[in-house]
Amino acid sequence: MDFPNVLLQIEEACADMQVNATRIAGEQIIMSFKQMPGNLEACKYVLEHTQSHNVQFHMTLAIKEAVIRDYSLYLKEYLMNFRNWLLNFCLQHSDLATYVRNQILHTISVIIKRSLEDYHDAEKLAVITDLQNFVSMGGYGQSIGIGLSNALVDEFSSTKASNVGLPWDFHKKSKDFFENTYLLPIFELALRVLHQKLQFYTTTTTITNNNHNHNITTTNGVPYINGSHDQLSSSTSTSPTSNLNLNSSYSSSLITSLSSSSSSTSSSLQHDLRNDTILGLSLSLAEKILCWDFSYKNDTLLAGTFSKEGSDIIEEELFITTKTREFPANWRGYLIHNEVLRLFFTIYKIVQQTETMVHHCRQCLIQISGLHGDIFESEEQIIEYVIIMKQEIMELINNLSNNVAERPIATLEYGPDLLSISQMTRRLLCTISLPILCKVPEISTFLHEVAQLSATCLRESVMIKDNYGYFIEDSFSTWSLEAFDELLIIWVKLVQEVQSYQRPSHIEIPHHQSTFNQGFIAFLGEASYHIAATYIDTRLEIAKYSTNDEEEESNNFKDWDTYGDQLVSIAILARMVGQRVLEKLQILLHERLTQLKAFFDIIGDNQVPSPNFTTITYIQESIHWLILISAFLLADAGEGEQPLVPDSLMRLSISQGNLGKNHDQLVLLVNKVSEILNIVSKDTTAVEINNYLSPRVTETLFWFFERWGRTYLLIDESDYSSISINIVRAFGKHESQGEGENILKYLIGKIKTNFILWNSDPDPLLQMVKLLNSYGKKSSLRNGLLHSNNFPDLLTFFTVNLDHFPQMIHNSLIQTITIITSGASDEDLKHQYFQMITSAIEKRFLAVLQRPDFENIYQQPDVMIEVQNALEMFDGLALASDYSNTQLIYSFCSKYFGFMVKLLHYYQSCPEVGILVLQFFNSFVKFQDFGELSKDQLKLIYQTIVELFESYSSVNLGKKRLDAAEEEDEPYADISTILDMLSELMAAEFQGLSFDDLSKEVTVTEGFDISSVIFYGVNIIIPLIDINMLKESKKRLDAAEEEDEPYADISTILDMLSELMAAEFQGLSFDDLSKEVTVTEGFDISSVIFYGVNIIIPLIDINMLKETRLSYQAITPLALYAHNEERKKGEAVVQHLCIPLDKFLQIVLECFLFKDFEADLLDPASETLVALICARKGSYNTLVQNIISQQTSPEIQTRLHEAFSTLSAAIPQTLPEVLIRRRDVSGFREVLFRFLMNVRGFLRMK
Amino acid sequence: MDDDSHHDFVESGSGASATYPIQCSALRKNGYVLLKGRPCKIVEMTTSKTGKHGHAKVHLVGLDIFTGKKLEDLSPSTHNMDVPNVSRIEYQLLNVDDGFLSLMTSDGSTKDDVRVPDGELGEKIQSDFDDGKELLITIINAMGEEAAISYKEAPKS
Repeated sequence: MDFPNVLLQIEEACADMQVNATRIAGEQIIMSFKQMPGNLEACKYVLEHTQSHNVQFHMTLAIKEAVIRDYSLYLKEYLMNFRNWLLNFCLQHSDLATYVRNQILHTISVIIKRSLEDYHDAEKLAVITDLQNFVSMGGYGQSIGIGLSNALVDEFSSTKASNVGLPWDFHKKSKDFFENTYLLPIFELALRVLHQKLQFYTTTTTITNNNHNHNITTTNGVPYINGSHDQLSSSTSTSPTSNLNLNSSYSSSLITSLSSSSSSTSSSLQHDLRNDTILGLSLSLAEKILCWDFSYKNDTLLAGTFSKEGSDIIEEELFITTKTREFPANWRGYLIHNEVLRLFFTIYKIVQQTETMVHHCRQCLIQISGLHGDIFESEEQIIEYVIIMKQEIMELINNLSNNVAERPIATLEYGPDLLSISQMTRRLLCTISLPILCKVPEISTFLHEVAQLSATCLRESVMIKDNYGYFIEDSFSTWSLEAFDELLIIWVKLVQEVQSYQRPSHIEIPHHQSTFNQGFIAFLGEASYHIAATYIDTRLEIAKYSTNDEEEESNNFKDWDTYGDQLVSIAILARMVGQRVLEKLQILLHERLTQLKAFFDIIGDNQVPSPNFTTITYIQESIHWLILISAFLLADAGEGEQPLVPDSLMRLSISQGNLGKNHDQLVLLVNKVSEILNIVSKDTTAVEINNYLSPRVTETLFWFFERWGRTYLLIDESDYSSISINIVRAFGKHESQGEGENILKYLIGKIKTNFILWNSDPDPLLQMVKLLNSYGKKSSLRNGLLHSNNFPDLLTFFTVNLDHFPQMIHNSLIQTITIITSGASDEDLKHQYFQMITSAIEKRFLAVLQRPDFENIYQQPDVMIEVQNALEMFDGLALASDYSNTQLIYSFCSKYFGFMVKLLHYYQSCPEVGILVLQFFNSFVKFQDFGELSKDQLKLIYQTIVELFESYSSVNLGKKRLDAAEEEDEPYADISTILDMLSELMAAEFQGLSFDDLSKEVTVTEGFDISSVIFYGVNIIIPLIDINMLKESKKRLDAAEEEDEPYADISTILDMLSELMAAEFQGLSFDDLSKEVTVTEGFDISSVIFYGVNIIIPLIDINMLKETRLSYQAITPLALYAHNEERKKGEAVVQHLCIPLDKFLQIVLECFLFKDFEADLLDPASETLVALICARKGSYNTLVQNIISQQTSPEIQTRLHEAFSTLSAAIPQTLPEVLIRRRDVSGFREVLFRFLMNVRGFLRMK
Repeated sequence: MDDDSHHDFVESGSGASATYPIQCSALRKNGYVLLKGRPCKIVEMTTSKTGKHGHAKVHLVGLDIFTGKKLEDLSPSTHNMDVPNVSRIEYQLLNVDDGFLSLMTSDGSTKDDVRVPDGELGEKIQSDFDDGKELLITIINAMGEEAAISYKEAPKS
């Protein structure tokens, strides 16, 4: 090769790449040069002779690519020399551009990682010795050493490794070696440099030496590295801290010098710091090492799973701050050391003004907070560690508050500082167990500081607005709130831990009783009250600012969800000091109540000018928050279980037993809330006042009673070992002399009033329905409601006025009242109530349907609205079905089956009515318990559904419409409802125990069985699913992939498809079906499958958990069907399925072997795989042979062959028609997992 | 309940009221409403509030049933809105003549005043009609306007 000529060409090409017109030509030349085999010497020549940074950069890239590609072509020694040459090149060119230097160091680290396997021990050690030598050089050499260390840590990490086209095993082995051999010495280097830097800056500032240059030594006299490294480093054997003669007086002298030094000195110091690349690199190195993802504790990962980079950065950041690291025991001497720990804190103080460095340093501090595990030898050591950390963190906190006092405007770094200090504190206090924490001297002083900080964060979280009502841009309220959330976690942990030790069941109680002396508990109580009270005050303060919020709000997030975690935590703290917080809340609520009353009085009095909205909005917002906090304090959400009165509150109430119920704190607070409900529950005559009422407050009030009622109302004494007499008397049952029934009656009255008041506002209405629904689920409350003498009136009110309420509550309202009434324990009462509801529905329905002129008026808006309302009421009834009321609801609804089918026909041009008929039947088959119905009843259902399908099909088949369905929110709602209904019928068939017999009997007697219903349904539905619909699904899928939008639509469509497939292939008479459909409509069923396959295939690949899972679930029944049909009837039956099944088999197998794989999908995917293999044994064997023969290395071929033999041996001979999760194929799954752990290691490349 | 019984009926030619008032909150998605005087199909219906404690407002998005144009309105949920009286009737297609459909009414007379729809639907009607297929056309009628919105082949009996 003519090197000078190459140089010319490359320089020219690189210059061309800078100009738009010649860019492509230039790129091509560089590209073809890079691909030239054996180009390393040419690269070297160009690097040595060019002056252009750009050319240098491209040559370095070319070297990296060449080494990765042609590694086996070069001798180890050659590459080693080349590596040393690159290093020396760097050393000798201190004028290299930073990006070129970084690229060279990166390339060196790639070479090292790639060659490591082939190095002998001395060569491996030499890597570290080199680094050590560089670092001891100081100056430029030192920055090269630290820079290379950075590059090495990146290259060997699991997240930043380069793609070198080698198997996962290679990366894993390299990482493990690096972790065990190099990481600690490199960390030690970083510490050594940081220590030197600390010394330097301490002296500079104390001597106020303005010499800027003396940290950069000249590059003259740098020794040339010649590649022979016989001499082993000794520094690893000496004590790591022996070099670090760190003196704790540094930090104090530094601080004094920093603060006392003249401004010119401090600005020159800042200048030095900003230009100190070595310090920056060392901090970044330390951060990387402290964040190292140690494999020694983390071996559960599926082999071949590479860590992701890029898209997961946000999650990763979260992960880094929350996950505490467990360092191996041999790091003890390096990390758990006074001087080392203090070193980071002192440097933090120095670099505080240097934006780029302070971030790395903060991350280091966060990482060294909350160390745990093998690195500690004894409890004493942990205590020592906590002492140092708490001292240092405390100093940071103090500096921060000094800072706050002095600053006129917040400094930019205040927010991040605050947050990182909170994170350090949280990691420290949450990782160390409470008994050990309590042994740390003066821990309470520290906790006291933390409590103060928590309160400060809260106060600062109030958004600051300027005079015009805009939020001030640089305010640090979000930082403060985030910091508060971190600190709140500490308090919750402390309180819960104390409580868990206090529980009588705790065995270790004698030991800890001494530890948690009353003093500590009292302190924790004080701190809890301080924080809870400040939280309440802060919420009220924020309420002030929310008042001039005139923006349109349409978000549906409720504060109790948005701030749920925070409120739960505050409630945990508040319950420590229940009495005081309850009292505070009650006083505050009383104040607001008085204000509200006064406000309404003024409005009512026409003489006085009306007050402005701001006042009332503030009162409403504060009431809203006080009620929220009260509800969280008084009761738990108790998802899925009966929430009990919290222990501490029960004890409090018991202790107030002698005061009587009217002076019990728990009762007083609820009374206060009721008073507010009273005053805002106006009737419609109070027009003036109604304009000032808030629907949100009403919603919050009923939400309060929903949550509170489930715990306290009609309380069951048998749930508690000891119970407060006040709670029983105030909220308990009548038979226990309680007032519970009266409260229910009161609430029923208030619900009616507020339904009238807010008849057009869905939020409060929905909340009231939710309350009824919650109460309806609990038998004591349900019967309480039913026995209330004003409940019948409420029901009549609902059914008569349904059309006045927004459509969205219709079904749920009827469903709720049906559930309540049909759950009556008294049979007479049940029928009486049920009759009430059904006769109301009947009356409305018949009033329209039986009009003689119905045929002429059925499309009039008022008539159509009546019909729609009636259909929704029917749907509500169907939704309320369960085993206990199936007969009741069936007997009413079935009377109208005929009407329904006719309605569908009448309204054939009005899809908005037709869909409601379909929805009713869908809910009906979904919720009715078919096991409770007789044969004749079932027969009627099937017949009706067949008629329904016939009618639907006759109207819609072949219809072409103007308004494209694609423009609607839910395209093809009708077809998906029918599909849903079909799969429900299938499910009903498979679930019902006696169903097989039943359907046989029906068949015999009437020539009518369920499979023919499904057969008929599918027959009707398939022609209706036009190809456009499937194309549309595909289109949406592609669009979603491009735009990265949520996959909601697709999963609906996919759900439908999988239902369709399941319905088809589980269907008993599929073969007849497919023949018939093909014949009748010229519509080949396999084209549906074909489109289905085209939709499913990309979904398997995209690794979206939900969609991929659905896809697997769609394929499994298809494969099982084919497998069983073939077994029973021979291969010919499933001929048309072979192609899609083979395609699926190939894709699924490739995903397992070669792609990123979500471990959560292992279960469904393994079921799919085994079903596909069983269905297509021949194809499977061919596929395996192909995969094996595609491997280039004979060694891998052998290994793969063996692995597949083991896997194939585990494949069951036959599979049942339906797989029962975790049972039928569990043996195969285990073998598959071992197979994957084995082969993915050497097949997965990066 | 509300005193909303003052139905101000607008009389249309056929004697039935052309519109019917309904409280805004009780409207339905996929139903019809008059937006800016035009009969529209509601394709989007959401509630919002002015400020956290404000009263509900309904945001309606509708497609003009004749022009397909998108129209929007924001109205307090308690206000009354007009719902047009919309009818959709199926006719047998007799002829396509000079851009107009010739349709047979239920009493056997012909109806020749509805245009062939623009675009794909119109083209399909024309080509299917030219192929000699017997077609049923659905005509939508509201506020005195008419248009063809869908068609299908008549069932062969």
